[in-house]
Amino acid sequence: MSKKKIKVAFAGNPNVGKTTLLNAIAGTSLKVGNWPGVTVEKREAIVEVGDYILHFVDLPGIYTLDPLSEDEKIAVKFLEEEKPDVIVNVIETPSIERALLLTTELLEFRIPTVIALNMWDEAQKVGVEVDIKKLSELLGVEVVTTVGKSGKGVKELVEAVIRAFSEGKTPKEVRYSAEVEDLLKELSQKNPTATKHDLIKELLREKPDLYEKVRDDRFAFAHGLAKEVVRLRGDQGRDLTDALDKIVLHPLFGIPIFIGIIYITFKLAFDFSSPFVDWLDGFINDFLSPLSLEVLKALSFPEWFVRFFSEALVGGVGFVITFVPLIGSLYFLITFLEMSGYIPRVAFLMDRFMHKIGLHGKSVIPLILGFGCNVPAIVATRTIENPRDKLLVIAMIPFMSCPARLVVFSFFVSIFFRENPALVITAMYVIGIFIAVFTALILRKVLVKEGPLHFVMELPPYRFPSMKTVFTITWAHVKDFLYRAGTLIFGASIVVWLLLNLPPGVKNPSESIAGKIGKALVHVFEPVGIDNWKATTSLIPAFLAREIAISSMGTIYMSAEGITEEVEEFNFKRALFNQGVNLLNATEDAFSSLLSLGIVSLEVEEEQEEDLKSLIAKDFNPASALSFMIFILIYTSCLGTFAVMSREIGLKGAIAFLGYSFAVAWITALISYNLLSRLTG
Amino acid sequence: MNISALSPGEEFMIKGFANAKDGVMKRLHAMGLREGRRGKVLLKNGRALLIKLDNFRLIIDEDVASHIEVSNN
Repeated sequence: MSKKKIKVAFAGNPNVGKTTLLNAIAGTSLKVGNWPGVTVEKREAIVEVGDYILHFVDLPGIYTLDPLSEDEKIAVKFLEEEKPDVIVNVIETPSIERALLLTTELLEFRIPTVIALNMWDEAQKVGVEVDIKKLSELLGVEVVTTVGKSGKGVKELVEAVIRAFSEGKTPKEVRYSAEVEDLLKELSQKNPTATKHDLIKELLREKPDLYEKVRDDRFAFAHGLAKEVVRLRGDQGRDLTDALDKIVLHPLFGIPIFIGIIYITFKLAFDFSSPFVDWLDGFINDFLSPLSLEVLKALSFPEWFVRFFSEALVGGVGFVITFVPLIGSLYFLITFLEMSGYIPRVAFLMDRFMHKIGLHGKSVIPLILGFGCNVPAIVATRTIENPRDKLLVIAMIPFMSCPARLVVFSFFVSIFFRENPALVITAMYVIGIFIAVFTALILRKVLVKEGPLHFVMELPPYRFPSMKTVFTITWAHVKDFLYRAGTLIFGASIVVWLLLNLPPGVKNPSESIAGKIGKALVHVFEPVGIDNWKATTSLIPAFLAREIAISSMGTIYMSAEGITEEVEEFNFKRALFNQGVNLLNATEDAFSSLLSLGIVSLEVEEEQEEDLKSLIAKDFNPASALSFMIFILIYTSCLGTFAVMSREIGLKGAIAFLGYSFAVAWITALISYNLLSRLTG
Repeated sequence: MNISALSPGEEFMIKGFANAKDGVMKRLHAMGLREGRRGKVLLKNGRALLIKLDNFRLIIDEDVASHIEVSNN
């Protein structure tokens, strides 16, 4: 007998612990994706229980089904069009009174419903009591109490979902005032199969002036229900959140605490992941790559395929994969901060500053994430409701300097600015922030003239997040990243590799298509001091990711000058042993770096071959090197950022932004080149 | 008097909403701000106000606050 499928929608207010609850049910089968056409995150999971396959869909956290924001539109559309078999209405029990408005609206669909009174333990502490039996009887729905973090009540919830489905238990009808009910009755005669939700929609289309009446009726029902089933005990304990907020949101200490937390986050993410990034790099380049080359040669694959494999697949996709530890650590810490309730508080702290550039405090969150990696930062703009604010923030993020740019800066600084490395690198970060603010001001003047829309947001209480949920969400994001690396980045790597290797039989990169484009580009870059084709050609593959500029410079300079790398003989056993030792060392480094106060992985290291450095020293001077760095900083040469941007603001918008960032990069480089050339004579 | 006239620590009761745009009103209502609800101003930071009602906390900015009419308990 085939198993029965049940489509279950999770609906509730924001921050009520829906994801934690879903995670407790689904474990690692939780998938993070996007709702079609929009950028609101979609979480879903498929779980088999007995004779049933339960497909859970986590709807965005919403306050009402009266659609105002993108989130609410998605939830309504899902309920109207996809018609779930069961709705699980997750309620944050301490705030049950407010939550019952959404419950009332959900009941209008007459879909079998289970109410999960979540955070039941917290409700007990703050003195909120709910008469579960009465709630269940009054509404004709299953009611279970849950504590998502500990998994308490989860089994009962799943059982209730299956029961609600198999018994086809539709909730009792919600009854509003006689005036509204009479009108709905008339409409239902024309359309007897329509749900109450549909009928009200129809009614408001015909008689929009009834909107307030319907709204008040819904409130009255929810309020009456609360009066019947909720009892507040007077003995509410002292609130830890209020006490913490007095320190964390203090007018004087709030900002230093915020800077401290951001510093610690970056330190942990960079220093903990950096040894693993290096290890992965070594593992791919010194073990996997030579091993697979040996195998390919042994199987007598043609030479061009072997080169394609090592250069496009290992060099392109492999390179991006080495960043997994960094991305994973950042996601882990950000998810932790988000679930603990701290991140929303930054909005309160930074509102005054952000308002000066025409944005709300809320917009500062993605900007901070941008220093870690622009890609998840742009993804994080989905929490901004207003499309205008979102556009402004997306246009600012690419100027937040990420660690990939730091790789290029460190390399040039170690050749041309040995005396002031920290000053030059800090200057790069400051120039980036300056350009971001400049861009926001321009955009506000030119494109989006109206002021920021109203700003209301809920601050959840502080909670220690469930570590299991934090890990699951991090893993879901890493999976998504790996998927992109395997598809999009792989495709782009092939294109760049072809450009460097066509026409067929080309030996020197200067004769390839890429070399020819590079030579043509010299005319564009000459005014900013970058006047040789090897440097301009290295910018072409750098569009995949900025740090590739250095590795491709290596390839181009080496082959143009006729220098060949020495290839060591590959010994499987020795190489495997070395990788094991390296992994142990990396783990030790990761943990020991956490003991120091500074960010160890950001200190300038001189790793590159001296050969390449001396070749580059001949072709550049401090002024043109600075030009190159500014170019890498400002021009959005990162396929990941471009891809996520085109998803958020459309392909045309992303291309226009690319053009803008190129123009700003060129002008800034021109100014700095001329200034520095004059200063150094 | 609107809610932004209150200082941290002061309690209030919502009397009504003055000249609020439709979208703002809908949002405030859905988030639990209704006539007759009691609450307390917890903190102020420049343009932003942190208020607490029942068991939830909201940040509202000056523009929104200017539409919320309250009485001192």
